[in-house]
Amino acid sequence: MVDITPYQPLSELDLTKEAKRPNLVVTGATFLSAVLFAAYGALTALYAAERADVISTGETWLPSGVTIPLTQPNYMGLSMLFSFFCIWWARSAVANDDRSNAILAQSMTLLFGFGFVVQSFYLFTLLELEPSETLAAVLIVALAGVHLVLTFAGLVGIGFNLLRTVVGDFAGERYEAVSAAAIYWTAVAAIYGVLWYTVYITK
Amino acid sequence: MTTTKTSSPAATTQILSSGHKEVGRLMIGASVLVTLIALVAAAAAGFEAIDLASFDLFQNADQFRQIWSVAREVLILGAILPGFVGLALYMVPLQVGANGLAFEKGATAGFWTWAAGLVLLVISYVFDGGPAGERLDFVLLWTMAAGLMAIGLIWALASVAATVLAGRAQGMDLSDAPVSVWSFLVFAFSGSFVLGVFVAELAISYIRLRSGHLPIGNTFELLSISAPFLRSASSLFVLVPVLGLTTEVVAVHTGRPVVDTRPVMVPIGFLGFLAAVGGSAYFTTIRPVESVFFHGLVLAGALGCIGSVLFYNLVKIIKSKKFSSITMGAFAGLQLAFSAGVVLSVDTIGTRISEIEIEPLSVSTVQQDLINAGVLEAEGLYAFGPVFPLLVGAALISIHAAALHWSVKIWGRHLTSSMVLVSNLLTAVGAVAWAIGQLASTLLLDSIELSVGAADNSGEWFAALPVIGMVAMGVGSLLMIANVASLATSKVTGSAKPKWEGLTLEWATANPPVKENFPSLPVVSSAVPLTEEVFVSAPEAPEIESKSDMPELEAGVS
Repeated sequence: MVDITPYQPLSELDLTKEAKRPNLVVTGATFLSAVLFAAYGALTALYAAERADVISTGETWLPSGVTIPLTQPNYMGLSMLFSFFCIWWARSAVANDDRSNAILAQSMTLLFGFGFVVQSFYLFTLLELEPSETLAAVLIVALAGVHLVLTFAGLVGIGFNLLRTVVGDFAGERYEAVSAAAIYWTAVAAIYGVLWYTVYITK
Repeated sequence: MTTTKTSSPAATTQILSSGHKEVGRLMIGASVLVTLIALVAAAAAGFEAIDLASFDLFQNADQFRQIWSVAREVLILGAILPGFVGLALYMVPLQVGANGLAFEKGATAGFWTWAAGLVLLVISYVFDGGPAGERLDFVLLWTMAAGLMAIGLIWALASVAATVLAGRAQGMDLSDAPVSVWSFLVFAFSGSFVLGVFVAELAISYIRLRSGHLPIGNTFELLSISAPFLRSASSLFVLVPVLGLTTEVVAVHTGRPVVDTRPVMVPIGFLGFLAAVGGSAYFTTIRPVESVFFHGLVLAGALGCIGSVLFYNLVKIIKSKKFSSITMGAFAGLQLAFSAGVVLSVDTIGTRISEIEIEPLSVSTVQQDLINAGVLEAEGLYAFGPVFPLLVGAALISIHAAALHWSVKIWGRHLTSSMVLVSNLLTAVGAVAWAIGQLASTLLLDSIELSVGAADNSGEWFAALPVIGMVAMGVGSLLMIANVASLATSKVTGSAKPKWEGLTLEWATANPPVKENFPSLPVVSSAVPLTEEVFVSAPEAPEIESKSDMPELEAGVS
């Protein structure tokens, strides 16, 4: 085929100043995390606005008989915090070709993550919220449920990365999937911070 | 170069392909088509709104609300935003010197998600869903469909942003990227923010509807979901690519390239930031908690940004003394954008400061019904009505001008300039007529005004202006469809020679570009790479007459 491109690069190109571009996967994960955070922020704002409306009428926000205990949300927060440190430890270990530490760190992230999920379900049983009864119940379940879905998605990704680490799929030069998972998990942890304060603390 | 009319047996291959060029073309084509349909629906609602004391076209107020609402949503989510996204999907890899789009399959999935959402949205309206619907299942479908469209667009925008950030040619700093690329990047960020908030609002509405906490028929709350596209400062994110595309077109056609991009990039970036910040006004349609100061600051800043880009391009046009139709057409879009900013500022600040409550005039039952539903505004000094047509007009003109400017890259041939000129003229005149009708009803009647469509101004001299405007814009869209269709159904048997060329990387590709865009990846060192020594022009490149010598063309040919 005849090349009809109107301009041609010269054969010898100056590549001495090769710029380092952010990795595509990492860029995509960052973008996704930012959008999720913004959308969740909007959900939270709607929740806060609805709550303010109800309280301004002199009524209580939480359905009668429902109390939100602090023990579980606080432990869930701690689990999320520890898992946040672990995932970045994993990222650092993979970058240094330290496979054993990478496996350990990702396993611990998964452990804390599963602990978070279990505590979430336990909290739901304690709350005894009936979504069909009050708007508050609907919104609390919705906010916590969305975060739980995001957590599941993150755990699946981290589990997949752990398998890849076990079989030696990552090297000191190629670990973008772990970086992407770390960024995503950071967003999940930050979102829990918003949920913890808005729903569990201010009630 | 010769072209012949033919059917397109490769259409299936194109549709199933995941290349950025195929998806970009599909999205641009779909956008042009949907624009016409949405304008027809808007004109029907506008015609009915001329006299709301009785119904001529529709059977009842519910039907009127549904058509009014679907036109508004589809114009933004189905026509304008996909038009910009389609252009970005096609052009950004060419402009940044990349072989393809980042997450190309993701962008394709985004396109199909958007398309599926569009179909489901229409189905939901047909079966009495939508904000004024009476059937719960289809109202729920409406929330899901609108959410799907927004998610699809975010998905595609993520690919665009990743390509700009991580896929640029070696040596191309972000400040060396073409202005339109920068505007697409800012659009991706601010758009994803606004659309993300929109999706969250839809999700909550879905849950509330499903659990019975939001009864169907609560039209006001459901209609308010799409308010951020139409009312608050966040609607200005639609104008971000208008600024970039206009600057790009003007730079090439005045022969005055953008060597220093910062005077344009700064206002564009700031406008995107302000539009995203203005998103906090999102909740104000239901809960007016915002302050005059906040809105004043945001809108004054936004107006300054649009004004500075307008001035920048005006200086270029005056200095070059080249008043070509494509330059002036694109510039008209910028003027409409500025007008939209002015009207939005006057409306927002004026409404906040005045807090005037004017008693509604005597209204009919139907009118009262629409007022209760939030479709009709019964307060004075409310001038948002003109903003919507101006935003739509600015965006459509910008898309038309960019499509003409890059048509030789997108379809391998030029669109017919005269037809695009007429399209843009009709769109500009239509948008202004629509806006004047809205403005007149607001200023002269200052009692009842319809946000989109037309005012209830029976017997007034401006009664039919909005409908005339919408019809004019519809005819402009029809011409654009004919123009694009004439290219999509003819095949190229030779290499197109562009009638104009810029100095950015897309002009270093063939017409249309080969499958990999660039034979070898370019290395650049400035915002005008084709003036650099690392490129050699190849004027001796032969005009190809044999089909077998043609680069692989993915659109409209076998």
